[in-house]
Amino acid sequence: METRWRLLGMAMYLLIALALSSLNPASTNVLTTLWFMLTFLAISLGGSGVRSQAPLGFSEGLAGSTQFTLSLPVSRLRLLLVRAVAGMVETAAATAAVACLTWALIPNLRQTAVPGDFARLVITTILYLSAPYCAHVFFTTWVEEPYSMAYATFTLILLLLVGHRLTPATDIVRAFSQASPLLTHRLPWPQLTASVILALILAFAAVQIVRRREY
Amino acid sequence: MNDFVIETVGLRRAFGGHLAVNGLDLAVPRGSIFGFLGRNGAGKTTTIRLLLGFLRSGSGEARVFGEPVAGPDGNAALRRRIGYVSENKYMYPYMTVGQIIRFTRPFFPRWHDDLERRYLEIFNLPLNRKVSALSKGMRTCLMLLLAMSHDAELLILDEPIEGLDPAVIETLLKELAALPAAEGTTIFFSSHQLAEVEQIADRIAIIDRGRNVLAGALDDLKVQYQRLCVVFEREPAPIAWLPGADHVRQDGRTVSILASRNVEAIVEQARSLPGASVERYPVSLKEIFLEHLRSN
Repeated sequence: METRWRLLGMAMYLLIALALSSLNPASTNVLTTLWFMLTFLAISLGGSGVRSQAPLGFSEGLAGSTQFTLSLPVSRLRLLLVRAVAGMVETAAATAAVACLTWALIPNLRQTAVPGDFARLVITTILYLSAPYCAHVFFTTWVEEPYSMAYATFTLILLLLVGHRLTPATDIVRAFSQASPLLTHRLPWPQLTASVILALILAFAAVQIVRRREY
Repeated sequence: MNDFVIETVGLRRAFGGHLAVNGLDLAVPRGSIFGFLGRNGAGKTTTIRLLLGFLRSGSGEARVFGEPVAGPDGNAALRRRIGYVSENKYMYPYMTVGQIIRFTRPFFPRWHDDLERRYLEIFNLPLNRKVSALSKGMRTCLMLLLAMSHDAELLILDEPIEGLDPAVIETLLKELAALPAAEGTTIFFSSHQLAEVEQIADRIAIIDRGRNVLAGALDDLKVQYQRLCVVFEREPAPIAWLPGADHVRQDGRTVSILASRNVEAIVEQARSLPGASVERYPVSLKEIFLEHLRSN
């Protein structure tokens, strides 16, 4: 319920992007555009520490409701995990929905890719999005929104650049370029592993902060 | 079984250079209605947040139900036995009254539907109205409903009557006053509304600058303390009053004494002074409160 307006807002932007792309049959940038927008969607849905999320911007009531949440007889670990899992499921569902619409609305895509490869691309995207999502979960445990979103975005960019410099296996962006399932016809396991490990590290760090933090 | 539901010994907590709780000693007996009083910034809410584990203490000890208060992520099972009303009265603004009740209910296995219905009626809460559309008083009522509907052994209420209208206050005080006898519930509440505290509390503690300045059974304190008004024919010279004349104020020919003990001897001393007449008055909680804060 907390993130429904964010989801709706991002859904509208995505639909507009898709609609505009569908008007241009030769559009080749739609997947790149969607990649950026889905990354931002994951970040905006990921503000789920133990504090409540405002629909948009600040909300005094939501910030104050933290004490109500913390007074409930449930551990902070469980609070964080339930919110994080719910948000990740939301992100995955939104990604799958966008993917279906993209396949339906962009004929150029259907002509150049087979459904199996496109499905692999969707799986790749969902697993990749765990990293930006958990980045925001991490930052929201110690910084208020919207600063946490800014830090998460900046950190994600930094980590992607560092990964790009290190090895092909850690170059997560490679999963959407040279190692894309649309080209290789298989899942980019090294890059996906790097993405998921990064997400798990951020999630673990978020848990440690939340368990010790004072409110 | 420990007779005290809440115990603190030398509890301390500082924020930067400011000592918000400064060696606080508290003992809240089981089944009591305990008023926790102090001026703004005295450390009441900080103490409550320490007891609930929202904050970590700097030093000292705090126990709830005989168990040490664990750190920030401690003891969810303990919180199942506690009903809490926060100072800010905020909940999830996007939920309706009905939704937040349905959300909270599963956390407490001993939730009583009959109590829920009763408090909905008493507080006149509209089930379909969003929390964001409730007034502060109605949010307070909703928090009280959530705290009181699950058979809590301990109610920790931070300013529970703030924002309530007199009719609701009256009803709430009656409900709270009945809980210890009916359910064995201990009520620990902070408030600035001394008249209401006086109505239901059987024990109080006054804190100032994070430290306990007075504690005890309210009835005993009101018997123990007396106001003596000594009027002289002429403005007297400074008088060395007997021990027990704790708070003495002179205004011209009138000397006002708040005596905490030894009252009869102080009265005799006053009567023995030339040109003095003495009147005795019972003391309200407000007077005790104000005098202790003045002298602290």
